[in-house]
Amino acid sequence: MAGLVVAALLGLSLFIVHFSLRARPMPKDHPLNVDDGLPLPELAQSSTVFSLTGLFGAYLGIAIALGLPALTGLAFGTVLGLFIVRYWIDSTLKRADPSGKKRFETFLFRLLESKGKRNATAYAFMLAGAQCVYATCELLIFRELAKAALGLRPEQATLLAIGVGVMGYFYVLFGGYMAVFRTDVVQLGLVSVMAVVCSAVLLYHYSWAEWTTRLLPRPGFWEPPFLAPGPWLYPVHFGIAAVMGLGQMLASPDTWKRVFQVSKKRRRPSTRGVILVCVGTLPYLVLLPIAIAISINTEGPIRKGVTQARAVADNSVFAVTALGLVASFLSAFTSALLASVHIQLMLRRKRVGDELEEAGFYWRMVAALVTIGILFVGALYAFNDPSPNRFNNPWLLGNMLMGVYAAIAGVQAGTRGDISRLPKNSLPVIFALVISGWLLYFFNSPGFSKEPTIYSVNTVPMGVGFFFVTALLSRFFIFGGRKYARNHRDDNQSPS
Amino acid sequence: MLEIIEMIIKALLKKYNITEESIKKLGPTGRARVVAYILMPTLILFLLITALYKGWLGVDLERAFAISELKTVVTEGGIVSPRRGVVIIAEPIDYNYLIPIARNNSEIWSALTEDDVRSNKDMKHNVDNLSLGSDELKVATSFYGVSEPVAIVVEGELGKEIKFRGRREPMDDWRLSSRRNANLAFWPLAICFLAYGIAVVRGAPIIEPDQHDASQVGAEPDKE
Repeated sequence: MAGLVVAALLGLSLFIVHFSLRARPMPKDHPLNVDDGLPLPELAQSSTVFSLTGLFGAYLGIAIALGLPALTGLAFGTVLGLFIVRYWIDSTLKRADPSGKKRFETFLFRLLESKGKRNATAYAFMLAGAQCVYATCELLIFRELAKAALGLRPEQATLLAIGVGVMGYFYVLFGGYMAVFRTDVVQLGLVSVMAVVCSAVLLYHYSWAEWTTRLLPRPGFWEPPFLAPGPWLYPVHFGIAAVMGLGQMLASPDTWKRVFQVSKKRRRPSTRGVILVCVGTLPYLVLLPIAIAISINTEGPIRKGVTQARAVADNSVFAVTALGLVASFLSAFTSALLASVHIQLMLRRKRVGDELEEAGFYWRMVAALVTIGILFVGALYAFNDPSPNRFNNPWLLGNMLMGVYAAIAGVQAGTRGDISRLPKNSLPVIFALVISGWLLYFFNSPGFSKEPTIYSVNTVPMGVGFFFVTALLSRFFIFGGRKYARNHRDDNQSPS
Repeated sequence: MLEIIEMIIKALLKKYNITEESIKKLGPTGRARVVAYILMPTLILFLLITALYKGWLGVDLERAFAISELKTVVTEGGIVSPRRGVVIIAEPIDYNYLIPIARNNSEIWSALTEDDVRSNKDMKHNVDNLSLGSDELKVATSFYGVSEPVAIVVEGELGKEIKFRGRREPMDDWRLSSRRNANLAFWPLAICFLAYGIAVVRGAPIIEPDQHDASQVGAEPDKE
């Protein structure tokens, strides 16, 4: 029954995409230059945070291990991120074309303005690559959740993940942004139903006494050596989580598009502000009961702590959970795939000019799918081997990705969202230094564990540290570059 | 297999008059469209079907059997006591395997009729399609004269690995799984094929009508 319902949902979404696209086809010259007619962007905004990687990866780990102070920090950082992104888009568009019509592509194209080709290429490569890896993480975590929460066998879970991933590819190929935004509305509705049902089940099964004890941080997480454990750690946890939430918004092109769509609508600034706050905090409200209900033995691997809930034995709860998971996965997967392709298209435009982009869109779709496919199969073999002494940690890739997000967000913060401030060819150097540093750290961190462990959450403060280091490094290069240019100019002028 | 695929591809190319020249005629956008809409999804679905058929990625649909472990017994008075046993659902697929069942009572309880059991026992060569040793159950399917799945029950303790000809596999990979879960895994795949059909229609290049095709003559009789 649940299978049939999921199939009906996928089929229905497919027909929504197919028929809405017949009425409003993608523009042939610039297939992704679509800003008008995208329904309810404020609803779809939440899907960025509703992704499986966010909900069931780092954010869930943080919520379980560090409780309410860190979760509040994440929510605050996310909302702050949304406001900063809005300001950034507005100011970039004003700079790019003060009198022209505001288009998202104008903003995205302006982002790749840089001194020298290499900076733009490195930036686009990092953004698009991160989105492809992110989409792969979604596949891996979806597969794992299908096993853990729905009780699927490994091969069934693999099949489900591949099947739904292929559907995501077709949605984006058929309809681009129009397909993603339209299906997002249905998908967010389903995720919300799942959240309400799960919360109701959890409220029924857990007493309030347990809830309050689980809202506090557990020992052994985010404890700086210079501070003794106690309530004074809460602001530290809040701050670290806030930077993490902010960083994810700054480094996610999908978020930029959705914030742009929300800002584009003619509304009073206060209404717009309330909307951004609501969409930013909603996913964390959903996460809270799940985090409280899941009891993880912090000493052992996670897989042994998370077991299939007895409530899922009920057919309707099973169907609702399956639908919610599929919807959440599809939404995040299609958004990441589309964001990756759009960034690549902008880089192409930068190189070959503003000509017909239809063929470019198709080739980039194929390239992104091949990349995701290879990464998925590779990760399945490398990180999902149940044999002893082999890696069996599907969260590993997502954890590793945190460093890449920190690097991208750090560059955004250091350059104030304008990489053209950086001197020629400096961005590849910054990325190479930061990513190498992150990998060196990560391979010796609790995150690089053969079995999934809640202690991988302890890599977050270091990720935040890498964010600040990247921002400082970018500032250093900007000042260094200016000084060099000034000296060079003086040297050239002095003989005359 | 490859020869058949090659033959099908050649026949399709011939039928739709697809030559190197006609591919060139598509232009860069047409070629990219065909790759994104038709070739890439075809490749993925082909790999997926091959994976299902060959058992790559751990996907094996045509499972020859499934095992469920029995652990307790409840008596009439409601007293629960431990009793170990194994249920095997053997599909009518050609397969040989040995299931370790220690401390068994040398009895096989199965869904085979007495006639079926006799047909599957070769007394002359002392070979059985279904036999129980001191610590192993030997099953060789499909059974003579039986075209349906057969349930087999044996009392005893289930081991960790199943033996096949030339290899061993963990018991966990062969445990019985819920049909509800299997449905959940396969229905989305069916929709993938629906989407693939739409993609092929959308992505297929428009074939220019042949100017010299006799069937075109007289289609619009009022025009010259």
